[in-house]
Amino acid sequence: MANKLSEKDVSARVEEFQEKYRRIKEEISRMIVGQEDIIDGILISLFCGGHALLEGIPGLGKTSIIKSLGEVLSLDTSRVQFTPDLMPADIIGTNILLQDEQGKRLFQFQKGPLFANIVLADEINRATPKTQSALLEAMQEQRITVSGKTHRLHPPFIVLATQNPIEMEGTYPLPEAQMDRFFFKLLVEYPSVEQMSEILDKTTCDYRADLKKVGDSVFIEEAKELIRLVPLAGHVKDYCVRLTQATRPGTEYSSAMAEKYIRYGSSPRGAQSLVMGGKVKALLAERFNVSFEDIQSVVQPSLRHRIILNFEGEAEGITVESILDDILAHTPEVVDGKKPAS
Amino acid sequence: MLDNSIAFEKLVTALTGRKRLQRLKCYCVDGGFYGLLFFLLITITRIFEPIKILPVNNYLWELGPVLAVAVLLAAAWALARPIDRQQQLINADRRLGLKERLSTANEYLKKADDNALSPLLIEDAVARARNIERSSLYKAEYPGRLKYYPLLLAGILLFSILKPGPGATDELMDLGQRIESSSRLLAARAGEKSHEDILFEEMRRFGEELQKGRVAEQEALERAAEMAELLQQRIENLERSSLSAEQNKGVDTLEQQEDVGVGTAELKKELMDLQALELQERSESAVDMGGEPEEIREAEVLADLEDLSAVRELLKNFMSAQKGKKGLSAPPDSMAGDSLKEQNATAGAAGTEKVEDQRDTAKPLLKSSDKGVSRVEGAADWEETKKIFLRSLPPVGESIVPEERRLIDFRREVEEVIRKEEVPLNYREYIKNYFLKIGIIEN
Repeated sequence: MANKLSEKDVSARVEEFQEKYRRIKEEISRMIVGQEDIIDGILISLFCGGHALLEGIPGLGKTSIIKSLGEVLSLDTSRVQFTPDLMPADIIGTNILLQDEQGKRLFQFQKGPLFANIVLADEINRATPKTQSALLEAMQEQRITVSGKTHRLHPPFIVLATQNPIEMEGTYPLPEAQMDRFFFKLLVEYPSVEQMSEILDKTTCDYRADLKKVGDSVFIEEAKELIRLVPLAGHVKDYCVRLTQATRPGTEYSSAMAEKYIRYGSSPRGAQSLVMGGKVKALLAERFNVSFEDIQSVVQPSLRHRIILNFEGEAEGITVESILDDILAHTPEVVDGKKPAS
Repeated sequence: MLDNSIAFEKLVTALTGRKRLQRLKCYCVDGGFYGLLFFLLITITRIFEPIKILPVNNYLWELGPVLAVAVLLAAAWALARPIDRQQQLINADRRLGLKERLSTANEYLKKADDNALSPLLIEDAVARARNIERSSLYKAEYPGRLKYYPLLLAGILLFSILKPGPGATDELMDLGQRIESSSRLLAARAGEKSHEDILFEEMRRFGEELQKGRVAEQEALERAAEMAELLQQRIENLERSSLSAEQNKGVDTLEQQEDVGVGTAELKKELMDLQALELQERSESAVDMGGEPEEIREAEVLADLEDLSAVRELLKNFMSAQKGKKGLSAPPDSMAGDSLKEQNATAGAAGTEKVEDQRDTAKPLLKSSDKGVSRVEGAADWEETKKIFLRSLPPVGESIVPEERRLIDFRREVEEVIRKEEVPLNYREYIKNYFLKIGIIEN
């Protein structure tokens, strides 16, 4: 793409991306009060080709955000309510026996809810690991294999899963392998007082938001390509690597807190998330390069679900977020005697 | 795109050039700081040990060259060290809040064709940099060590005042070495004599101080001149005394007998008498050959009556008479003058240096009121040493051999004379009684 696009084309695409992104947020904001960070996180995951895990108590608008996003972007949206008795075939589809007009019987693949652009996996931790793992191939490879036949999912494909952190009885926490496949993990917080008031106004009155379609799948695919072009300096990339290394106990850059409370640190996917998230942030900040601030702004959603606390950390009630804050504070932006002058 | 790249390249060149200048300035200041620190340490060390950097008389003259060398070395080091271009841009990004625009653009400058966003990035970086004021873009760095300069200079001046005076110049070092060697010569000649020891010690110390540059030049020259004069005077006196002692063995002048105390004067007087007795013996021989024995007999009677002065006078007259008859010479009244004449005659014959009679021209300062040699304990400063030394100088021509030694020598000679029976038999008892009486010999 780099060689095909002229400077004007690229510039136009950047402007288009920035403009449409702003409009997408505006449209969703008409439906969703507040939660801007969550919307940003979902959009960044979408434009980076990743998936997002939303964690929060019920009733905070997770499902509404995802529905609004599908409506604004003109994307196919499906919702799967995960329950303990949900089977893999229920989400990926199955072959059913049909009989044609001549009375001849044949199997036909009936697509499941995964065959959509945006899949809302509601309360994903309530399904059994068998069903959860059915998502693995779809999330990573963006294809589904049933009865030896592979079915490709149409891009863009994004899984937006939600889970409830409080009702843990009868739940199946997501295995580490599956958690690592989520690009971001977003924590949905309670709205503020003003936002609550606005939510009441919009939901208890005769208010109906007609969301306009701002983008489509083509725009999203072009934006994905554009984001990958954003220049990343060597020392910024080195910073991403060191941040990821710092989450692993026993490494050169790990902080004291990480050494004490972390059992497993981030995989290389964490560094990928940092870089890609930073690139989107840079473009959104009308910049053509990734800065340290861009990286730092996506550290929490990129790495929080890739870190597993040890028993001591769990026992002492240490949160992953506090460890990441400590890592950010103790990881210099430039090392090897090249620390910039303050 | 090309314009932006050129503009960016100019910007980077200006940034690195300014950084080089800043580094040069800071390094020069640092070099000066370390030069001053070094000189301060040297100045402090000079209080204890002289350290000479340049052949100048005043230490402070060395400050300029030391400072210049330090600054030049620092400047050379600053210019020799390469400047990391990318690092400078990273620092500029941080300083100017450009969010890694410059450093990333610099990295993507050469691969602009591979990345469609690179031209936009470079253009953006140049535009941002142009919007920044030049004073902010090229931030001046304040050389922090400059504030320590007054402190160091004050320290150098303070310690220079505490340690005044020149360094050990070649002239003073040479003078010191000569004085030190002279003091060793004096010590070798003086033997155990106390005042020479003091002078020797003083000269040795002074020589060391001169070589270490601990004495001011003017003071050193004056002190050295005084010391050299005293030394020369002392050496001449020693040589003269030594020569006089050789020639006047057992005899000294009558004038000196009046000056010196009872012991030495009487001994000398008795020596004269002994010589008179010898002459008397000769006169007996003359009598044997037809002389006049009445005078001898009269002298014998007088000697028996212990009227030694009368004996001497009688013998002197007798010798004068004999001189008139047989050409024998009597001992003169003034032996010192004659002795000097004889000494000079002997010296002239031997080709050695003549000794002048300086008794009448001697300086009042040199006239000693102290007799004999006194030992001075403890260290004295130069002025005190000089006074002691001047007081101790003996009159010209006087022997400085202690009277005890002289008494021992004299006793030995008397005993030898009696033992060898050189004295006529009839006089032997008188002589023995005489020496017994005055305590020279024991019974």
